[in-house]
Amino acid sequence: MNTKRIKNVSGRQWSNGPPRSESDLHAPQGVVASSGVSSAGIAWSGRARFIASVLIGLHLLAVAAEPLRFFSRSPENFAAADTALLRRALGPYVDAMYLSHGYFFFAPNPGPAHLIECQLNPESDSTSIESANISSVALDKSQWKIFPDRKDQWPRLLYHRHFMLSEFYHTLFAPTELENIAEIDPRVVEQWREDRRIYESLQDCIKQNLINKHPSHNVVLKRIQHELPNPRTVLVDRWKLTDPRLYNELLEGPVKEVAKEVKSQLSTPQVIPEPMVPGIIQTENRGNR
Amino acid sequence: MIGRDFLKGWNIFWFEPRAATTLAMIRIATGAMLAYIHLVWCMRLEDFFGPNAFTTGAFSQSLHRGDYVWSYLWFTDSIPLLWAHQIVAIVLSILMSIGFFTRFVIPMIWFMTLMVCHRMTGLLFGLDQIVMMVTMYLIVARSGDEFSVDRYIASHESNASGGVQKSCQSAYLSTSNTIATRFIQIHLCIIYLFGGLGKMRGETWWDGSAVWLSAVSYEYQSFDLTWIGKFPVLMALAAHITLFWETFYVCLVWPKVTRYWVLAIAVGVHAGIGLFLGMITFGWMMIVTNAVFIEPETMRRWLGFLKSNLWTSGAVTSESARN
Repeated sequence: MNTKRIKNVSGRQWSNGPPRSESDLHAPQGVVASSGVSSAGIAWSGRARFIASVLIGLHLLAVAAEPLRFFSRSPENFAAADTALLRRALGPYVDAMYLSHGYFFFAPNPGPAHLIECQLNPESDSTSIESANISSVALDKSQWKIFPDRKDQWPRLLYHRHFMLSEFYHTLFAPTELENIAEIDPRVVEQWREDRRIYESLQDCIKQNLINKHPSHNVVLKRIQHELPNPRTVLVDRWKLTDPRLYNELLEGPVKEVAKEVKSQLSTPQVIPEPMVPGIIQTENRGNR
Repeated sequence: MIGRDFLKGWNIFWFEPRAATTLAMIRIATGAMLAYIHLVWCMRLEDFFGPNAFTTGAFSQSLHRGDYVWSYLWFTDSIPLLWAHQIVAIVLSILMSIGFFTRFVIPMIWFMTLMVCHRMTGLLFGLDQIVMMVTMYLIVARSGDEFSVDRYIASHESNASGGVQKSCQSAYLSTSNTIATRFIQIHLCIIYLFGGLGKMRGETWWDGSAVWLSAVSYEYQSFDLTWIGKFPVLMALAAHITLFWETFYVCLVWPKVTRYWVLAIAVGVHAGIGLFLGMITFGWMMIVTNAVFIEPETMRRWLGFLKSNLWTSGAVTSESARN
């Protein structure tokens, strides 16, 4: 790394010694230079290097700020005090430069996928089609859409955008109502109201997009969780990965049920789920409008 | 003494000038990927950016209330304007890839893609993070000094004026290249470190079932991988190699003795993710980004056949003509 290895194309050593300045380093004719020049080849002045070093340090802190905050969070705390302080201090830079990523790819465990089932019902027929059993329901294709859908969304990157949308929709979910709202910390209630507002906004956007393409239709959105089967289910019982029994509609509320669902997702370290009972998981208290 | 050694090491690490060979290759691949990303946005432009988009500009703006994210794309849903934006972005991406007006084009395409990223919150994933990261650091670098139209033009202008100072055979050393290279390297190490630490928290990466869970994730799957369930040892081994490789990448990628082993595993892991989990674009970009650990000199050697055939042919021809 630290050896002087500047040679011309015929392999001779550079007779005039290593370059001293940036302009020198834009080497003269026929010079092929490796990355391994000696420290004498450093062109920047001490002051320039000092300023650059400070900026480099700050930038690297900004790169690490969000994953540190993300990693140090717990059910009780938004983040550890130090990482929260770092993230807050560098917030403008981290946000503006698109550095706000936790980098938790497939971590801590690969989990089930989340889909959006969109039912498009003619306005004359206000009854929604009651089923989460996706594959077994014979619906007119124009009346039913799913995000993501490989047949409709190609190439793969386009499909992935729709997949991320459905996961995002699931991530933003907030239940329709809170039970015993009077007994809950007002800050939690306020946060829930805001979360619910954002969730409904996204819901409205997706619905409007579909209504725009299918006028005179009502749209009903359902969150579907595609469970991951265990090896026995697939290899011995011969379930396909698209088996309808692996698709479950998720609850929109009330909060007690949702909390139970969320808690089980968080506390159970992604145990490979046992096969679900075929059919609808819940039919009451749908939050979709 | 220790302080002086540290300072010397720091200076060499960050400020010792290096050639742009590796960064130029990364620039070509990243520019092409950016063009593809913008092209795919265009395929459903109205669904993504229009007045009835899945996430409208107003919704996207409301998500970022209180933070420091901003995008001019929040304020327009005019389809002709958005088409114009995307076409310009695709053209700039291609120019970046071929290295034409590189120093101007890379900041422009980075900024335009940044605006798209801030607009499309919720529809992005690892690919966007990696492409943006690499493009951001290429702004600093002089990646257009090699394998570029800029270089070709410069060498021809130089030859035409009777000089040979900018021969295609020469390498430009620059501190900017070193800083950009180090940034990408360290940023990549941070990504892997937290990715690995995150997996360390999960039981399935330890009991080996994570590979099965990934294999049976139908929404990701490209090929039927359920056969792997018949080989629990293989599944566990793959999970453990991934876990340890990702976590200790930050340590093992620097020493030359382990570097190419670590990079070989990176190629295997990301090619596997690309082929089997349907994320070809993400897998490819991760492999491209890992190339930043290949020294410019080594990259030149590997690209020797290009050097002797395509790359230097222009210079050889023009110099022969002068003689």
